[in-house]
Amino acid sequence: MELESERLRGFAVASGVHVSAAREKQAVERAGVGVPGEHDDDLFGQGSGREQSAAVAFIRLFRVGRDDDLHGLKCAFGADGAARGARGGDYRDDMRIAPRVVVTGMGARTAFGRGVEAFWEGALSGRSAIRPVTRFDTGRFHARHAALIDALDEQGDEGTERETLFARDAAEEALGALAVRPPFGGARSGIAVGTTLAGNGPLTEWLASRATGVERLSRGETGALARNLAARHGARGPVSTVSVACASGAAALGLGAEWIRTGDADLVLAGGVDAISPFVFSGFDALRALSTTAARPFDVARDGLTLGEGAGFLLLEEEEHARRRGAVILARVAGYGSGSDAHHMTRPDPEGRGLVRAIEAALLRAGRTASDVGFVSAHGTGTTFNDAMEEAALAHVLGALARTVPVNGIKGAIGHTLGAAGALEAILSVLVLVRQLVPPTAGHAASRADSPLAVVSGRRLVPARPVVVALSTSAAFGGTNAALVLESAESA
Amino acid sequence: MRHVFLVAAAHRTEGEGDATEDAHRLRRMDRFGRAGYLAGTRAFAAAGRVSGAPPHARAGVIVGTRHGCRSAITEHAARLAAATRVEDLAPSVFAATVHNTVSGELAIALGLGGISETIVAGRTAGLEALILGAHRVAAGDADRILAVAAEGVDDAMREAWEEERSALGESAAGVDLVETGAAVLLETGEFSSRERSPARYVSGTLFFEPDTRRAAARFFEWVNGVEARAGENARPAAVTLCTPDYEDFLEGYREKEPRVERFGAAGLYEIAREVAGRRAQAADQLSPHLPSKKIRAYVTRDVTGAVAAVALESWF
Repeated sequence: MELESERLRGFAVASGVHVSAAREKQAVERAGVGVPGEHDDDLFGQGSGREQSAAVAFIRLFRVGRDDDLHGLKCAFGADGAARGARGGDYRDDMRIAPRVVVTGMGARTAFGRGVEAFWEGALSGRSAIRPVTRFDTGRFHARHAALIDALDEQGDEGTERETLFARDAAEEALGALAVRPPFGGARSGIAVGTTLAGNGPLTEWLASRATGVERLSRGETGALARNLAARHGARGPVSTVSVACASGAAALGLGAEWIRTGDADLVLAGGVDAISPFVFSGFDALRALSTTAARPFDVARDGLTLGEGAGFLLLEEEEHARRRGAVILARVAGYGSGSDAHHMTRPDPEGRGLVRAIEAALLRAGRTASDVGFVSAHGTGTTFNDAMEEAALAHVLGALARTVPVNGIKGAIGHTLGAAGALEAILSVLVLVRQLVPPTAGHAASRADSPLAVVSGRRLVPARPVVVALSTSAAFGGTNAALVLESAESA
Repeated sequence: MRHVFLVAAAHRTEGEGDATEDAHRLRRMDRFGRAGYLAGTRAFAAAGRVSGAPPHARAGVIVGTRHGCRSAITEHAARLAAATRVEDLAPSVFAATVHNTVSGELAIALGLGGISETIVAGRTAGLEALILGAHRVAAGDADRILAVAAEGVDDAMREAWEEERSALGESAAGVDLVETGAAVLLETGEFSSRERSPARYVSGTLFFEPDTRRAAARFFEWVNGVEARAGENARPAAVTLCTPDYEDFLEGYREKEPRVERFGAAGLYEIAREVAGRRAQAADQLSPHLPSKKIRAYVTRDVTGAVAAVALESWF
């Protein structure tokens, strides 16, 4: 209760809106999300259900509050100055600084092969791309399996890192998949990359020999890959890299969406990438986090995660910009939320409170409630602790609906792709929204008896109700959690 | 959008010696971790905020760095090279090879249960963290964000800097690499105010422009815009170039450039130094009713082409 009140108070301040009880009632009624209770003397001081309804009403009004809806807003809040921006200006100023973010292109490179279609077909099939590792010697380790990309047929510079090749491939697809190539490049285009250890290869190589030269050393910077993509595609807007372990891909999408929302860019190529090396494999093995067979997300007999590699990129675009150029809008990035466990550096909070905070923040930003969620792309690593944490968090947020909302854990199919995971899972979520099919979770045979989740298992699922809102979750070492709320393109 | 104030700040540079505070926690971090953690906890304490509180959803942490956990990476790589079996490795060392160690440790220590991000960019990283944090607070996603920038410097990184400095040529001659941690606590006006805070966040920009002349033009265009929006009482912005100017990015500022390399911590270090200095003065000297605003612009430039700049309305 206290937590929600604080969140909503923050929202009220953010909106710069003082709302009287009577106008709250008007707003809620107008937004069609229910009528508040009788005790409406203090909007943010009383019952949580009422607060939630009011907050959703406000957000929806703001989100739809473009010029043609200003009259509606005045009707809801009054035109006498009650609804004013915190800077003392008209509330229209506040509305106009929050453009909406849509997805107009996607690209994927996974162990299923090149491209989004290969990824989707592999996911739908219920197959797993996890295989015994042959690229490097696993003789020293307990685990032997991973979902690696064996065939590299790109024409890269000699010595180009694997993650760079993956990223270039996925980025090219995201930019080029549409019939009309987007006008990417220049000061209004940005690049946001999520990765855990991009550049680690050149760095460890330099550390081993101290003689590979400064150019190779510069490629050992984690941020070098984003700049490489910026140079390749002419991006002159914001270019950066976010690295929050296994939540990096989702965080990069959140960062890219933020740049569009704040008006710093119209187009952002955002996504995640990572490659698997003995460095990474050995570390997870030392932590005893790896399955000795293959990851089985949410399965009663799960015994650990399986590493994978790849890249996923999404072309994020300001909605009006996309509409003006006649782009096909695949989905909308409605909300992003970040939350920290503040509990332990490697063990997740058993109750999943950090993930709950991330999901709630994403839903609030999206102007959605848990009852809107029609699909969950879960982090689902297949470790005992992560999956139990995620079950607890999703049960907390979704309540009884958790037993009916279809859940997919793609890591049973393509492994845990680390920095790419959040981006590839966002791509999967967009595909579910567009195609209204939910892939099965590879490796999952049976959940524990008291599992609160409806994990899709065995074969693809045609959802019982249309999926309009998808939730994608990520969790990471360091206690970092991230959540993305994606909406179908047709949603208001 | 809400006002965002810089409430307090702290910085830590090499040679200070690790304090005994949180000794157990500091032992499991690498040099980057320790630099960022110490700066972050000190900034929090300087603001009078209570550490050890239960995780709070409206409080978060954003860290910026160029090299992040490179020392932990170096150590794990060395152990792996010598290992004949996985038991020869140290799980705790690998666990520290994620760049979000500082944000994670600060979240645990200070009860920062909300936003947790780590930007790993070049020399612009620290200001990027500040910009992102300010935007999150201004947009209402958080009420309190600890913006941190840190670079740990071990022997391998010092060797790498020697190589990089040599490649940069004469303009980098004599520039020493210094381990640095810096932190600034950002809060909304709901918790802070002009009366109690040394500075207010006004604007930030981040762009990628390899051509130095064009980059400078874009930067000054942004400064002009900030000045224009500041109103009639504002004086021209005072520009601080926070990074060594290896490529004559800002003509006329060369004599003011720092001759110290702090990588991604450079920009936030300059801001933290000034905010902390002002904060240390008696509270009654903070004049809440100055007749004119003073706009300060801080800019960092990475030789790869990135520029990040922040404008503050300051009372110092």
